[in-house]
Amino acid sequence: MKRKDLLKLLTHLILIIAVIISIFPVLWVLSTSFKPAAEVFSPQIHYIPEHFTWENYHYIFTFKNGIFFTWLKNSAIVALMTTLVGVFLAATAAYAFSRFEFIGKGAGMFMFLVAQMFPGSLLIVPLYNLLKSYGLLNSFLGLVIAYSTVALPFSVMMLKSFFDTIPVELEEAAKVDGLSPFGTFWRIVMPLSLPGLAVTAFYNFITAWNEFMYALTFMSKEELYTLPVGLRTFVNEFNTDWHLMAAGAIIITIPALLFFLGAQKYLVSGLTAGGTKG
Amino acid sequence: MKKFLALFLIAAFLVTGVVGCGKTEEKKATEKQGPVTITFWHTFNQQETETINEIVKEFEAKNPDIKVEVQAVPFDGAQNKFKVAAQAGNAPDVFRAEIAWTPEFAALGYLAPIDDLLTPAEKADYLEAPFNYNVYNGKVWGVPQVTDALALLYNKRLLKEAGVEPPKTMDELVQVAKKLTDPKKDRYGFFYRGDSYWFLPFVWAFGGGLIDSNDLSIHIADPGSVQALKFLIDLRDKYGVVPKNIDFANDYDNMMVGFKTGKYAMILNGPWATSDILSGPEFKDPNNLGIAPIPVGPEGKTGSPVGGHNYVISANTKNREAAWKFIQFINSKEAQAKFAAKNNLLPTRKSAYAMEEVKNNRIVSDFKAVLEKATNRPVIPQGGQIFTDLTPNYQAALKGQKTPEKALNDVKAAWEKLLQTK
Amino acid sequence: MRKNTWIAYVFLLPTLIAMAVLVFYPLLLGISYSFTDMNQYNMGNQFVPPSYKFVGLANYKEVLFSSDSEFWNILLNTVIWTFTNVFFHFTIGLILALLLNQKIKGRAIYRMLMLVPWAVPSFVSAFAWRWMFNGEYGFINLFLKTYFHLEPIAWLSNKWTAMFAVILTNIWLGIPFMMVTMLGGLQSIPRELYEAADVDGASPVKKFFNITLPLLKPVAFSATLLGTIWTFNMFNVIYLLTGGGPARGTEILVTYAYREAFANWNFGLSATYGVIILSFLIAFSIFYSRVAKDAGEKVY
Repeated sequence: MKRKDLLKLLTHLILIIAVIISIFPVLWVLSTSFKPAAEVFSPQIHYIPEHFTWENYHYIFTFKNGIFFTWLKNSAIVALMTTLVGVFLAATAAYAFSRFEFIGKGAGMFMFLVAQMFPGSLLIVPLYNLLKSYGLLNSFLGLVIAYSTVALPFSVMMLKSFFDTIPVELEEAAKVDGLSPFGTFWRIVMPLSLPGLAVTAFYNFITAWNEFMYALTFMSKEELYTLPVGLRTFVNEFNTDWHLMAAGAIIITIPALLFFLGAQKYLVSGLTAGGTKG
Repeated sequence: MKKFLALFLIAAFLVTGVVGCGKTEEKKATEKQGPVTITFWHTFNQQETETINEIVKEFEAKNPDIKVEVQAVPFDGAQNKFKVAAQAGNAPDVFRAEIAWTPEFAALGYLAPIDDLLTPAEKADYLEAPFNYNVYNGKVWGVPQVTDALALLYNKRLLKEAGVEPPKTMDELVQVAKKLTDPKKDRYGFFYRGDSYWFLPFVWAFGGGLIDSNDLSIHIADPGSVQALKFLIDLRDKYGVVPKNIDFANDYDNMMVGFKTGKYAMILNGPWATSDILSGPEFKDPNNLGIAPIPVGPEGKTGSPVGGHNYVISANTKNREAAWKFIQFINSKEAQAKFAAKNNLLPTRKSAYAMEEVKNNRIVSDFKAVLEKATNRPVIPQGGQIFTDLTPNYQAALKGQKTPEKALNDVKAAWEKLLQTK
Repeated sequence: MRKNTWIAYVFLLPTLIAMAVLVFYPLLLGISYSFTDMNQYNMGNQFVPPSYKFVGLANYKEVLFSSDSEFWNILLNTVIWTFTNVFFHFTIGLILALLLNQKIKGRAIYRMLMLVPWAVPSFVSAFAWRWMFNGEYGFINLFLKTYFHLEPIAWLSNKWTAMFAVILTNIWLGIPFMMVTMLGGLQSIPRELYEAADVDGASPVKKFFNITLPLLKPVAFSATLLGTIWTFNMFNVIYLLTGGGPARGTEILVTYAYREAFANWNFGLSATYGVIILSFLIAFSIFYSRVAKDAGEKVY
């Protein structure tokens, strides 16, 4: 009996330490966001700001006539659209890989792995010219499509494994009832795949929400910037306005955390089934 | 069923397309009607942006037939953003280009020359050193907006308490710094960065050099340059006036905080840092900030890198005259005086220095004195890239991983390769 | 499994088009650049036609064999970086997952809080850690000074402490994903197996090595394969924390290639690095999958 309790205590201890390490840097940024500029670098540790102030947040919300909210709106649109497009593309492709035999199937799966291997940052110039020739610069659609392809490989691989765990018999039964392949996909398989879809949605959302480079290059109007690009304007030629950056960083993190908490329930079960079969 | 799928796909893309393309439709509509629209990308920081926005508003009020689309671009990435856009013919009409970018853009064919637009009278109004960065291959590619140079900044109070005057030679620098150093109290007389831009003043002061703009000869491995590097290492190891462990990734921030809190008595920095410095506890009284020229080396030479930004017009502009009119306004002596008064930036026009608000600005005048002794960096297309190899080798020497001779010889070899790419 | 091939292609079509146009086309272009001397002066643009030349394997020769090439140092850094990260991601992730798999109070809260690093944008985390490692004012040095009376360490100015700093940051970033994946794998192991083992009187250690570990193999293989690929190319952390410094001490292949591409616009050379990265990763994947296959698992 005693040994079991001791083990439980140890378990809690380790987990508490892990939690502290996990959230401490974020808490520190939070604390910094409430400090005036002069206090950001201080010889003593101040967990709680000495001169607590809202001025950083106030600055962010009001500068340039509240352009921050425009950036927030842009990020939200781009991230949500990426989630829709990305999940759609990944689900259809994963379904094909999961349910059908066809020429090029093995190579196809390997290609998704390969697609993640070449550093995307090296492809910016050809991508820019490509988007330009389709008139997709300075448009959310261009950015969304670019982000979807970044998130696709992992999404497809994961969703395919997930679909693999859904018994084929369900679809056979549906077929007997007269449902087409697309109908089975849409009406039977998709609803059963909520956990897997939640993971894919989250992954696509985060990829788009946090991305900086493509957004900086493909959007040249300040009103079309996303949050990461907007935040970067606090990084000046020589120094960085840390107090502002911290406040901006917290604001960027909150929606991501919220989306996260919502999808959290499904994340574990989603990655489960995705993981077991590999 | 195929029909359903196809319809669904089309619908999905249409929806996202409509939302996405909305903005570009609007743009096309305005271009057809009346006023000319020019695009202007700049890299000003938060405070400077307020100033330029005011100036742009004044311009638009005085010129109802020209509309200006102003875009603030994060400095980190601005150079590439411009180049990526320019190679597709999409560059903004007017751009605030750092001086090192200007010859590069010109060599790439991304800029429109302005020789025919710039009158001799106007050209004569510009200070020579900053103007030089706009001349490449015999043509003029822009006009200087702001200029700067590294100066020796010092805390007047600390020097007075130690009974020393600001150093005029490198030897004096050592003596003065020693009197201001007390490691037990965590105080140091001097501080330098691991960024090679801060190495340049010493290179010139000790008789070394970088790359000659005319004959492209490389001087970074000359005895003078090596001596400069050795001097910096001595400051730390032999004389102990500089902290032992400088954090290269954070040294700019740490330098500023140290100076503002009185930990470091003397540093090198430029006019852009003024508003930050004046917000610090040691400089609540701005008169406490001392600005002096870089101390001279053993042969009486001194030097400080001239930096700054230019306004340039891109080659793909469809409104060159409007763009030039705009530049003339935002770079007029009144506009430059505004920047001097509000942001302590140095004007590039001689006429601006005659204006009251500039003359009365002590900080600007002091920096101007330093500027007069400053040195042009090489005006070559690769001008901005020389630091890519200089900084790692400079750091390697500072850390003792390479001898100063080896480090600078490696830089010379790397630059030889760099110069061949054009 | 159905054999109506053409329906499969219909489902695949949107993805196929998107990937072909936006990923594989630029990728093939990129690979072709590695055989040229393309840079910003000869790449051609709106006004002038391209004038770069085919140079065969000259770029590869220069990267791999020339005496002043930094390649081998950077490769060493990359290998150390990748394997250290993946090792700790996996072991710590597994330990945490094992702990969270127990029936303890508040495990949902623990789990949620431990996932925070994953939700925070990586450039925010990079800035936070860079500040925490600040040689003079960073939290870590202040902590060491206040509680252990240690002299401040200039973390980001010495190669090995800087490597430690960037690796620690990336481990912090990457554990949540690994932990959740392992947790999923653990939760799908049927309880009956453990119960049967209990009946046989097996110790916890025996249960771990004979039941848990073997049944986790598939998850472990795919998670570590993906983790290796992602870590190998992890750009943000190093770029934002040290910029590859000090003196290129923390430079890895992808940050170096980025610099060649965007500081020097030397596309030929950076594409060469890109292809080398690609080759390494393909070789690794094939080798790793073979190992997995021999162990009886399908990895992808």
